[in-house]
Amino acid sequence: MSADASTAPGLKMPEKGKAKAKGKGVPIWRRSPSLVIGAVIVLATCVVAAFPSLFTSQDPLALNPKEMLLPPSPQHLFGTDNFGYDVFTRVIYATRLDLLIGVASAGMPFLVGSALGLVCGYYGGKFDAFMMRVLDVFMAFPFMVLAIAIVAILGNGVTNLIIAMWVVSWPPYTRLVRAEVLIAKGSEYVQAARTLGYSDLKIMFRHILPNVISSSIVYLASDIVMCIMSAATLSFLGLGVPSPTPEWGAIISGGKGFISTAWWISALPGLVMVVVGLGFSLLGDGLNDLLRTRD
Amino acid sequence: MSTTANAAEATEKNEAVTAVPTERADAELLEANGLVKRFPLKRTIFDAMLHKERKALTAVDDVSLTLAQGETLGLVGESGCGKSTLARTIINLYRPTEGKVVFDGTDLASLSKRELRERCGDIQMIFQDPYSSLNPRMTVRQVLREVLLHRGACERDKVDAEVMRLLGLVGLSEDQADRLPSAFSGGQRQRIGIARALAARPKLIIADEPVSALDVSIQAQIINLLIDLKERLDLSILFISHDLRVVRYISDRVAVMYLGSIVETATTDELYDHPLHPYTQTLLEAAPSMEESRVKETKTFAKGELPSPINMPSGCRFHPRCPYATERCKTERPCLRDAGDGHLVACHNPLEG
Amino acid sequence: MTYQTPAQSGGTLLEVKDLSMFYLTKSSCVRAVNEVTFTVREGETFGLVGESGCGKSTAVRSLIRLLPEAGKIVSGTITYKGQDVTAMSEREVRRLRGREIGMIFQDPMTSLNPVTKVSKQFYESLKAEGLSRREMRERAIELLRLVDIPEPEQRLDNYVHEMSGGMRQRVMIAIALASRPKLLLADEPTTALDVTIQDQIIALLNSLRAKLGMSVLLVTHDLGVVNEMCDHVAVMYAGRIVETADTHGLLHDSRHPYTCGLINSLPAEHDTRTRLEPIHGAPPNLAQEIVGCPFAPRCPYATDVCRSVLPEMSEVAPGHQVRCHHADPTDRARMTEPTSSVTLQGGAA
Repeated sequence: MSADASTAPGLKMPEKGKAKAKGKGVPIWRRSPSLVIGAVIVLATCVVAAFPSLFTSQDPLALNPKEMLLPPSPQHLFGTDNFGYDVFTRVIYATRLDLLIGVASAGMPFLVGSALGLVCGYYGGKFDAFMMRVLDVFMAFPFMVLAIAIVAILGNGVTNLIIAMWVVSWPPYTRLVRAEVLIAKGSEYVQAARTLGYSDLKIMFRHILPNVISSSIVYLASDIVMCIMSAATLSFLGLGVPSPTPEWGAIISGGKGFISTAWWISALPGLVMVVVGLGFSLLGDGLNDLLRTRD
Repeated sequence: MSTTANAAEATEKNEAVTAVPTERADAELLEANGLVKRFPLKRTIFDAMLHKERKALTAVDDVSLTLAQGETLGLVGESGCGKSTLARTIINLYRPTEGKVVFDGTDLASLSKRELRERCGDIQMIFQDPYSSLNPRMTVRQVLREVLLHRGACERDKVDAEVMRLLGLVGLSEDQADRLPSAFSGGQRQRIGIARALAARPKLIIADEPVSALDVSIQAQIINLLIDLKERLDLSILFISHDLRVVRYISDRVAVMYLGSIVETATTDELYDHPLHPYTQTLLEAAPSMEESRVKETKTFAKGELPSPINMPSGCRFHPRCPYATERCKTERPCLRDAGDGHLVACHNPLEG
Repeated sequence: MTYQTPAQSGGTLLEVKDLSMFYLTKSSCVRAVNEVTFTVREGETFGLVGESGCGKSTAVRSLIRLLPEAGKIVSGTITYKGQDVTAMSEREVRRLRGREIGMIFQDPMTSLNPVTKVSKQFYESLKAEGLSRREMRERAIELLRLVDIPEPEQRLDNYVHEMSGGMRQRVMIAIALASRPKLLLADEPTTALDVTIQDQIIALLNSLRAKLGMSVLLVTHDLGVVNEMCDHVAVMYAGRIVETADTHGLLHDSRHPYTCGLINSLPAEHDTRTRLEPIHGAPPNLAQEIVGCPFAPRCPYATDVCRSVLPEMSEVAPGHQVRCHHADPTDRARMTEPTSSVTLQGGAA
């Protein structure tokens, strides 16, 4: 910004200004740097999740009692924990599971919640009124308390964890999409579609959905982070992934007793989580810029 | 409401229906009979408990109009007079509360949802806002293709040629076909909206304030385009506007609407040369003039502003603003009656022709 | 009230000279206002006319620095009562806005606060005068009466959304007048209104100007409104003033093809034409460098010189300046067989 302002008195026409449509011709990293940084981090996370063995030669489940609580070193980048597990290796191998939990537990609510919002907003009436009350009930419970209750009922395990996330995280999608559908429904292009005799399905999915889904997609990006964090929290509380399986929350949880003597067990995996979370958030922000400025 | 008022309204309704010139009835493309559209207002929970009557906003109040094949009818009125609601009721975006719309010999209310959908293309609409009337994520080609394929207007392999023909018809060039609406100016978007309406091969086009969001120089382009298209394609147009002057160039007949009802209708020249309703005169006089002789003070004799359509004035709806209002105007609602040569006016004391 | 001739108006109140205001963003430079020069005299109404996007609103807003972040005044001077506004500090400009210059907008809902009562909004602008609450209320009632609002005592306790469009406009005008401004900036004050209400507001503004002896700088796209309100007018096109004159001269002896085109594309009252005569094409994109006369691509008289050299403002009659290479009607008549679309209006007058 400041650099641009300083060139102002010189009145030089920026080269890009000649591009015809706004935004066209401007490279994407200039238009939305956060999108690019976010995408790089998320992509890197995906690669790590897909090929963990490329990044570490050690076994995440190899107990090594001789090397307990070692501080970070070239052999053990993140040090070792009280069982002698190599923390870095466990963090790397946990990526796949955490990413899976994040995507799986945010993806379903995104699809179902958005579809529900679309239907509620488009048809309105009694069904809409009923669904909104159901939604209020779900929203009335604190997110975490509800998730804990569900896991407590269903029992530990990755599947149950994901189901718990499904149950608690759909309402925001419905809210977001419904609100936008209500606006879009009144707009003249939807009225035009109706005067052309298009079917409700066609109007909903071809004309309304593409124009209302952007906020939901943006929310999805940050919700994946939320889900990873929640899963980690549940694991931290001992309600998520059962113990020897590497999982970020479980790793951090395992280090909590040694936080004053072996800080690396909790701190460094925590840092990784922060970076991944940041990546998804930036991606969300970037998508926001990109999707919103189109119209 | 007193019983006398009810009676007055009932008789007036009957007369209003008969006031439609019947001799041309067989040539009519569109016939709206006693259309009423009310929007019920939300009641508070206390009102419901007290069993208060549910209030309603009467947007269209007993409107009858006809439109012949190949004719352009101008519909003029201020904002909030119900002209857009009337248009949307005719095109079945709203279900009429009362009355019926007969299009091309068929009562639209009698059709099933499916039949209605099939006949939809016969009446098309051009919208006011060039910015919200196009789906921001569909290119011009996608918009037009979708209409053509949906209507089965032409074979699949000829769709692209047809898209180009439509673009040419509305004065857009072929290389603009793959652009998104955001790449176009207001006037060009309005052209796209017209092309979309034409793609459905309509018999009647309802143009709802198609030029009021445009600059004057562009406005004239669009009006001329509509005039040309009407002649080339033998269209009928219901042209809605708040500006009496604009309507003049395109209309064969003009209807003036005030607070949900039509107060005057006549052929264009007749209406402009001899307005009979004080409201029509007001509209004509009030628009800012380019004429020199005008002194700089208010010319409008209509006092005050449009009353709320929830609490309509008694009698003639215009009486609180009318300088000629008499006692009769306050109690008895005038109905449309023929003042000669099909010039209909709803006024107890029409101006001297 | 009678038509006020320009001669009756007093000394210079506001002088804008070579004002340029650009919107600078990361990737573009939109030349919204380009070397605009005009003068508003005491007691007169000056009109700035043009179509949407021609920079007229931006020009007026830049006078009192009501500009978005990206808008930068890049050159020119604004002199108000002999003081240079461009050199003023933010605080001084704010003082100017509060005391000397009032502003009214097209949409009252954007400038009035929807959640506080009308009375409160008056008090805010009256606070500077150090009046007691009761005095402020009396003054507010007086102001509402001035703008012909019936039952001002009750209206004062209403919220804006409880009022009709015309009423809101009147309230906005009354609030703008609270500080007894010498200059009222009016940005399309009647555009959103119905014709009958528009007529009432025009009459109100005209009578207020006479009553209070203030000047009005009116921004509008409607030449009819100009005719009914203004003493002097400037026509803007693509960020530049292309023609300026007294109202009568501009409307009845217009020289710039754009002004002529605007007049011809208007639906007139007593008109025997069957077609309107539009200006073909569309205004240029101000984010692109414009070479030559900005109107040349749409102008029926454009020649090579128009397409390459920007014309200077030249005086064609006393106080009547035009930015056109072919401002002389005889010259133009010789060049092309005049198409019906650009016949000059009342050229003999």
